[in-house]
Amino acid sequence: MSASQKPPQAAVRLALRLAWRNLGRNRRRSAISVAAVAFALFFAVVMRSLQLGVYGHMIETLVGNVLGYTEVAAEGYWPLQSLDAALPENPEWLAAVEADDQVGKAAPRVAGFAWLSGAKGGSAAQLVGIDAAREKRGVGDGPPGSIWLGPGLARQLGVSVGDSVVGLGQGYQGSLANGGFVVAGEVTVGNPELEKRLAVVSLPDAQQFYGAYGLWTSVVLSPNDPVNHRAVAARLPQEHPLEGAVWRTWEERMPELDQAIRADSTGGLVVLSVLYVVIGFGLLGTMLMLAEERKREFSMQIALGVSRRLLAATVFLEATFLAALGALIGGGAGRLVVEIMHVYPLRLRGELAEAIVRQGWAPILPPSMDPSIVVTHALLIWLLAVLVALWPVRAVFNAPTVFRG
Amino acid sequence: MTLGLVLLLRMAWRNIWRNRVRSSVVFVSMGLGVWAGLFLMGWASGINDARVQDAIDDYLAHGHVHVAGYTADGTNLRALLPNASAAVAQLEARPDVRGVAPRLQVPAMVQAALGSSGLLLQGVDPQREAQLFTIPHRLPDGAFLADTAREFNGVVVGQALAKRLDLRVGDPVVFTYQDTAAAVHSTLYTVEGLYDGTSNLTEEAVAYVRLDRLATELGVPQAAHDLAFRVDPSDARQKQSLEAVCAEIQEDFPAFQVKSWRKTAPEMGYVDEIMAQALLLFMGIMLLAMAFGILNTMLMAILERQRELGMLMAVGLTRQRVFALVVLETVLLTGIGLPFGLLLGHATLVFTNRTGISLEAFADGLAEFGISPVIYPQVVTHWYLPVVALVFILSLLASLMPARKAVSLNPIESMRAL
Repeated sequence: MSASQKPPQAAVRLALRLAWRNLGRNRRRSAISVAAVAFALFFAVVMRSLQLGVYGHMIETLVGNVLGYTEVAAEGYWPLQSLDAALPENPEWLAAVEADDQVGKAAPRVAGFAWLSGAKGGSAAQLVGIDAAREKRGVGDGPPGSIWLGPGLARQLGVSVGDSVVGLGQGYQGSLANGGFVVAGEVTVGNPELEKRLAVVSLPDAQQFYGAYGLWTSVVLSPNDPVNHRAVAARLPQEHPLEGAVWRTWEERMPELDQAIRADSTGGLVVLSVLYVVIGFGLLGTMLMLAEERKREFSMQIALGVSRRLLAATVFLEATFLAALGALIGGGAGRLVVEIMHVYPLRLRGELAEAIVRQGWAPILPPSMDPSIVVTHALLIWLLAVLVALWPVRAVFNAPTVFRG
Repeated sequence: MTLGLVLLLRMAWRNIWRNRVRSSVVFVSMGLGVWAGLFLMGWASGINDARVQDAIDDYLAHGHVHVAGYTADGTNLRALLPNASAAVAQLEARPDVRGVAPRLQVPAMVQAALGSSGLLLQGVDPQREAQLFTIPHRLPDGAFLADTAREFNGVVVGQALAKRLDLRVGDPVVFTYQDTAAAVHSTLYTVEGLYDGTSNLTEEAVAYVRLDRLATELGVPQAAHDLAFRVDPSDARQKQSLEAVCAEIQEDFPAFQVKSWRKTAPEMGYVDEIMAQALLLFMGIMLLAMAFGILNTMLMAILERQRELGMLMAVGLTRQRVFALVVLETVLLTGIGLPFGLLLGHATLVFTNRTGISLEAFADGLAEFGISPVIYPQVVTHWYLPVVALVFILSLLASLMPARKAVSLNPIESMRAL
């Protein structure tokens, strides 16, 4: 009847059944271990989702709204963003890129800096001509000569809808850019700091203002799924080459932002790993207890002919079950909270909110909905549990066949 | 009673050493947890203190004098101090003020040969600015507005802006801005120096010109928007003493507003407070996680000793004593790891505070946040007591369940148990 003589499948099934039943032998201990795992995973999921969500929000407002995930521009355009390095209009190429399955948006722009003066004051602003039909932002579409201002910029100029604004700046190839516009509305991008110096006009108006007739300074591309934007950015130039143009992802244009996010993210992981180490020791305590409690039983079973491997497999599976159960509960609870925060995002209030607005961000904390966060951290903590379970496995192999307790 | 407590303590102490491996796991996890927690606290404080100090040294100073309605982004041009030099002299005469720098601030557009950008043009007195701030001393290239020739319009721009607009010392740039009468000026300046600020954002957002030149251009001779001042370092360190000094100065200038850096740049100060709360919360979470381990260990100890506890109760150890025994044992168990964690944490902080930890690999990203790449963790002694208190509260809480379990044992049945 020794387990080693059974066919392997039956032995595995036996080990599984024994491990499962063992969980109920000391329910309180099992519950505490499950709770410890669940607790750690819950915090890991909520913390990480919030952290990554805040980055996602930053990237979405800055990159999605303003910079574009990928920018197609002439060789010397970045980082000077000079009008002189502009591309000739190319509607056929644009139509071909737009038709690509993975491209969500492809929009040409004419961007430059100008000094805008209003009734009350003036300010330097980035005056951008956009293709309203392609950008779908609800701005840039109006009678010729219309302008949309960021709320902060409108305040600084002291103008509101219907007022006129005069622009003065550097045009194409040293020409003097100047023109008058009528305020048609506000443009918001989710970053109050940027909105202090953002003005939007229609593409033809911008071309006329800067004297950049028949030119685009850049074409911004957003993929359907931002997660794989780098792969899309790598593939498109091969399939839709554009002479004299360079394709740059936002990470290439804003390496500091990318690195800042990475640095902060690494910090978050360090903090979590400390939590994991502490939880690991807690679990080790449980495993010690488990091994201790059953020393006598192990010896007796071994004396009766149960193979050490079957016993080891049983305790190992037991630990795995505990961790899996904890991971399921903690991961589920964490995800539930994340789902709730997705519907009702945390909104910061009071002085803290003001401080964040001053830094240029909207005072909300939207969580990341990336399901891989739960999976990654559940796997991590499960691995930790498996590692810790090596202790009772060792105890099984060290157990004497004759136990005097 | 006292004898009873001593006896219980001795019993608890001996009990701890009955299973060394198990107890060691608790000591080690407690020590490691406290050590890591303290280090993270010191690390975060170090980053934040350095960030605030760098900002104070770069552009913030300790306090500011201006008229009501002034905004630091220069958007309210008419918020002028009419006779700046008199105010500077009056401020400088105070014994608690260490230096004063008058400034004019106007939002401007800069146009270079190859591109343009928006920024804040700041008119400063070069000598006074150099007294108060480090930027005039951190010029990898050029000089800080040293050329005083009447017809020379020098400007010092940040390295980040210079990189973006491809500017070098000697290059011409045109600044466009509006004066207080809303007239638009476009003036040619020559890049006289490139400064190296701690924050890339500042480097792109602020350019320096001579105060007298800018005042003439704007048609507001003798005026300034803002007087930045520094106080004695010992006064600046404490929030209360800095506020007290500012309040005293305010009495000298009833017509103006005197504000500390915490008021003019509240985001800098709040980070301090938010971080303190976040750190304590994190420490709490970690210690709570640790409490699970302690709870587990103690439960194990009770179950193992059922027979013995039953016997003790049968021979007359009261339930209160049993309860106290378990609580004492738990507190002792946590109490042993704690000093090691504190000591190790303290030693690590003292050591790294001296040597600093270099994060050169992340230098560009950190500059984006205005953080210098070498971090000097702070020895956060003021956190030690809260941490100790947290540990004891949590260990007490963790002892309740096993203690109740022990008390609820039936002496006779327990004695018969395995």
